[in-house]
Amino acid sequence: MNGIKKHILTAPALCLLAGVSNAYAQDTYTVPPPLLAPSSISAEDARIPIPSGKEWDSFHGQLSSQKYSPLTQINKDNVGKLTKVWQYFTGDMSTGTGKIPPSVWSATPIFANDTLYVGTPFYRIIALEPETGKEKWTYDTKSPLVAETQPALKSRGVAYWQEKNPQAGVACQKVVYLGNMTAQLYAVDADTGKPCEGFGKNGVVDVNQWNKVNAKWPLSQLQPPTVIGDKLIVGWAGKDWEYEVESPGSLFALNARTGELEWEFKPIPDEEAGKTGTANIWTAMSYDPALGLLYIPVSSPSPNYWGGNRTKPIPLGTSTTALDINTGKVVWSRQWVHHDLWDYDINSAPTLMDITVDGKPVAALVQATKMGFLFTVDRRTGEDVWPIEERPVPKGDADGEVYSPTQPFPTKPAPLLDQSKKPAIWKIADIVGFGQCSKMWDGLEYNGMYSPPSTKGNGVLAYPDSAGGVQWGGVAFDPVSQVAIVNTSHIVQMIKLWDRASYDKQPKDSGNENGFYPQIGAPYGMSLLNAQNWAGMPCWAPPFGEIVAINMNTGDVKWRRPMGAVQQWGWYMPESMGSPTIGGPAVTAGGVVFIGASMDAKVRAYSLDDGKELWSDIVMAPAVANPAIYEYKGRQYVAFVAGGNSILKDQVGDQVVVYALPK
Amino acid sequence: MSTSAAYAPPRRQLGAHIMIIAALAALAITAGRFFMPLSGVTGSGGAMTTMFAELVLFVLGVLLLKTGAGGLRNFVLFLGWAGAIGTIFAASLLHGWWTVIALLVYAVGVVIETFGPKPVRSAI
Repeated sequence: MNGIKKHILTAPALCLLAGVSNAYAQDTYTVPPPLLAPSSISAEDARIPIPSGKEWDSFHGQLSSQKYSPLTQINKDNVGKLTKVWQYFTGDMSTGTGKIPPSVWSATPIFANDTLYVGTPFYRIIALEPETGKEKWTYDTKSPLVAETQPALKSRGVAYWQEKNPQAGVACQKVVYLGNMTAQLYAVDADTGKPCEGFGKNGVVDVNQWNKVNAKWPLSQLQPPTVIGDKLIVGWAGKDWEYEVESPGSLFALNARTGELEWEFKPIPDEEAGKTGTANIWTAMSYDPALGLLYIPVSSPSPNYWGGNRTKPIPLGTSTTALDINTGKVVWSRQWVHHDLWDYDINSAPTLMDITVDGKPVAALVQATKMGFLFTVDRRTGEDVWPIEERPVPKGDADGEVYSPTQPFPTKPAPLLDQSKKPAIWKIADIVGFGQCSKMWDGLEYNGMYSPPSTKGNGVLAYPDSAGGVQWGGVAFDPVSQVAIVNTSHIVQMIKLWDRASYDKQPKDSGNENGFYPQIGAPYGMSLLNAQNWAGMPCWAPPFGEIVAINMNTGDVKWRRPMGAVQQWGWYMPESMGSPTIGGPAVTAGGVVFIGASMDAKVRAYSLDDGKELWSDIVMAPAVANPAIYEYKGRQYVAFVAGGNSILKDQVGDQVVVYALPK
Repeated sequence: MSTSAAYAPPRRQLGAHIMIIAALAALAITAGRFFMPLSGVTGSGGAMTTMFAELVLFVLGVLLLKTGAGGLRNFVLFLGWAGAIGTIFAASLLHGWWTVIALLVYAVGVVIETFGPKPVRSAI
């Protein structure tokens, strides 16, 4: 009641503000051109070897981020017999009802050194026997369990490095790394779990020592480093949506043995860094050894939903950028959202793949996005594989804002969801809500994709917005059949800008990417709310999430199907409606796609050929990371971490669960 | 003093007994899933609500045993029908297929009570 009263009281003031702000909105934004590179070697010479290993020694299995296993013991004909061979409960989880904040655990287990390693959201490293799940050792970083930069304690696990020729009996020839919320990066011996004294100070590097500009919070180490040769490539996560001016998004290359800084990359030009921030790299990265190129997904500059402080182009913001691994210098860059006003962070490692298009070999890179676009470029040069068109997009009226006149749209593959028109209302939700959804839709602006945040009515309809589209699981790729697999969410959210006086009167019960956020320093606070009725039912028509296979020879969809099921209070909705998804797939030479990611806390196997569901099992919480697939002593295993993510629902887990065929 | 009612043999009320047993079975199955780890509905509000509904269905079965013919019995039967349909729906949303089977048996009991021989009023 109180909230409604406040809305009514502030409505005239908002209308007045909208009229005034029209006069102040600027129109001078210049779209930066793509930064391309000349090709140095042929596509054939740049070919990525098909993985032959039995290991899964990095976040996405390989540095190409293909999430591909060459193993065939488990295949589409026998995957239905898959059984749980062991499970391990770390004990490191919290529902958030006590003193400890809730946990979000999105770790992919790492299989290396004949051991399965996991890092937990309480910042412990656990080494497990791959065959039995028996504990080998644990290491507790004794990190403070405080959600300093995030709404929850989060971890996406560990990274692994080893010397080229490790010497037996010598400590820290093989190392496991884990970061924490307070920007500390720990290195421990992979055999014993003891700190590597030569790494930083007694086995710890304080990444925050390089947080020198606009520092307001620590550079949280939630994503494990990307290990390339003897380098650790380290990004960071921050406090999205909090401030106008934040730490600029530096990326650091550290020596894997010592933790010393080798180079630093800054996506934001120095002259702009004092006015904005972030454009950080908070997720995994990819690497092409033949080209010596590191591919980084760059997020959006701050504040995320208003850009009047950054009216000059920041060409590397919301981009995929290729860096020289030795120097950290930019080789090419493609900006996927100009002057980002939607928090369309590029949030997953691009997938490197060798494909044949029109009979010619192409060294390709596919960048999945929150927008549901898959951008495909030549990874040597950054040039389009299929045309990427600059198309006119709507403008808005926020005070002091500039709007990019165009945005890039890929022509192939087709968008994973149709953002060209306002999504249809789900009639059942509208009936249950006594017309609440219809009224909500009437009050939401939508002029097509890239409709900018608005002060009017219920704000602007964002489809998709921060929750995606595609999340950090990214695209899996089978290099033999040249089929790409990706899961996507169909989520409608409402973005509204609030002038400072109105914002201060709003309730501030923010959740994980859902609620009110201040953007302190900017003229507007903002709200980002899911479009739901009073019962929590989505107002938009299903499906709410899908898994899609794409023939990368043609860019056409091979098959697509709703994935998973929405589950609320234990009740499952029909699987034909699908589920929002967080996490991603892995694909095998056995013709099987493994994935968790769905709200119903199930892990599934699909046929790569036709998308038929072949197997599923219930796990403790949504498995919001990619699975790991490995072989040990002649047996193939599939490992999931079921840790949950409050973006999907308030269900947390601490389960590592491993499946194999019966002996 | 005399009684006006004709002699009526005691009715066994098979349907009500089926309802009671089936409701208890459904309750036990749902409770098992509620408390069992990794059932998919462990500790969920939906399972708890369904358990409550199954408890109500059990009480309705007991009431049918205790009530004679008349308005109250018809009202209890109406609740039995509505409760069975609603709880079958809720259990199916929980993917509790054994619970659904138990509740279908409960529905058979309701059918028997609805269309089978009616109990006579108590003699006055």
